Amino acid sequence: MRSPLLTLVAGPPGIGKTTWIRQQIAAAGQPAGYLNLGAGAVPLDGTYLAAELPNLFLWEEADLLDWELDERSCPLFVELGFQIDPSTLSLPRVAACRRVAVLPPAATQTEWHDWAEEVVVGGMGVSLLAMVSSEAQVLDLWRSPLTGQVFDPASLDTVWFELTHGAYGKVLRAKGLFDVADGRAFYFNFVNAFVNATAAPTATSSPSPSLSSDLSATDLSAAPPTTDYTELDLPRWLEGRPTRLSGVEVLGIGLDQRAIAQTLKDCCLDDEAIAYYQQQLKASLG
Amino acid sequence: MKLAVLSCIHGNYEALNAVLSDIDHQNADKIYCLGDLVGYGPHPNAVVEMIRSLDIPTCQGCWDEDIVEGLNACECSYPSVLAEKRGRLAHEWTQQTIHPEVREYLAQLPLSLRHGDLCFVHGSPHSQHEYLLPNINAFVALERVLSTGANVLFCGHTHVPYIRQLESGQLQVRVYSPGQESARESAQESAKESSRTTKFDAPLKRIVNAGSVGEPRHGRPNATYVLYDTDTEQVTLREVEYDYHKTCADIVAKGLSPIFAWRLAHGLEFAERADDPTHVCER
Repeated sequence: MRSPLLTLVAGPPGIGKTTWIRQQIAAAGQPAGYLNLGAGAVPLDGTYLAAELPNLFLWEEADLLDWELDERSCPLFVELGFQIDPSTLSLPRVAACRRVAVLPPAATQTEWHDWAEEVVVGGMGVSLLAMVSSEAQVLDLWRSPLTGQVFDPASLDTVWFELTHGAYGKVLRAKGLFDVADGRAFYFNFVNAFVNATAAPTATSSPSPSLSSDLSATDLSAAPPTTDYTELDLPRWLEGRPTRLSGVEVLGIGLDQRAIAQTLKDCCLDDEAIAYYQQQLKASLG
Repeated sequence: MKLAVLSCIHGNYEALNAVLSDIDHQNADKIYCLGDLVGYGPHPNAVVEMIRSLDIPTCQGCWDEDIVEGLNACECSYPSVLAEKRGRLAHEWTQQTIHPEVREYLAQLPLSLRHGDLCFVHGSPHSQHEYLLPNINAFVALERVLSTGANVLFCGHTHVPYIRQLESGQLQVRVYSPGQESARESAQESAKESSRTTKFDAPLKRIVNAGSVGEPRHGRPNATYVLYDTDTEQVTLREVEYDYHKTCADIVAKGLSPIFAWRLAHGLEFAERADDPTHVCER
């Protein structure tokens, strides 16, 4: 039997959905499509995956309206943002797709279990899922495009440290694509409350033990903040301001979005500084 | 005689009061201050007035100099674009806040002080902006102490306290003459050079960094200072708890950036350390 060409992947933020998709596509070694529903105007994950996987085609949301997968003849992975209720999706041919939920090791009886036909164990602990699921918490999701901005690396280090250590509110999840002064681009990926920060998601056929009622007692601050930094496999940008996509996305509680935006702005180089660095780099790189 | 040495108060009046109270309890006979009375903190005038009222001998710090001479008197001060922007904000606020007599007081502060075989500076004997880090090259460290003629050099500026012993050892100094690089390559010239090598023994020297009263950078919000017993030569690093929440509230209330308060509460310096802390200022 032929595998479904469409795979829907859902789960809480920071659980490893994008990582699992990357593993699937890399392992298959075949061209594949990718779309992140809910990424809005700052499709960070797709841009990151496209830099990592040369055989990846990025899809637009509008493509789903009249899609014909057979014509494209390659699998399509659709990642669902945590804020999207997968049961409300009305995609064409959705009944024939493969539905995968990436969930924490101890999770069970969640809305994703009811929806998914396959559960993958992600690398995150239970705390973040609890925070997301709690009706008592009001989550802030802040995004900003940064295309054209070039960061001073030392400043970016400082602001990212402050951001992920609570200077602008409690951050549960943050990711960003940043162009820096030497022409390179980096993907920053931060998840609070990681239990196994580097653990790759693994497939399982049976649900894990239940999420217990003591989740609310879990202390997020006890988990060490973890950021993965990946240099994207892209050519150095050495001519003016970059036109490739960059941006930032922060999920948290009580975020001072204005302060975050202003501080990020304060980390960026002006035209004169960019030109100076690019001239120096071109001279040194021959 | 028991001396108390404090540094880098940075307008933190709460921390200064707590440290002065602790010094009282420790029965210190005399207090020295290594500068940076102002900058970043919310109470620069009150800090200076307190130091002056107690007649505490004080060196000029890099921030004290910047307030007098203009921002970034040493152009290599800031390690990042963000730190520079924050420094400018703090500088402008301090400039608008301090009283004229405070500026005059900061302007007349000496760059170093002496007490017997002890020398007191803010950063290093070369510059208020130079960092003497605990792992700085041993030769450079010893040279800095020897240049003062003292046996113990007290400094601050790093905001992280430490004591470094420079054990008695032999130093070799080779002096090259300009324009003799090619000649130096020959064995014959090498022999000549060795005859120009000066060797001398240096006795035990020490560098003592007092840390920071008002802007700690050791990962905790507590103020630090140093006690020194001139009879026993014993050095004691003191860490003093104080109501940093009040300082943080004052930072925000006075219109300074809230990020200064957050970093103070976490024992992080408001601006990061210079990118190349071992640089020598060439102003």
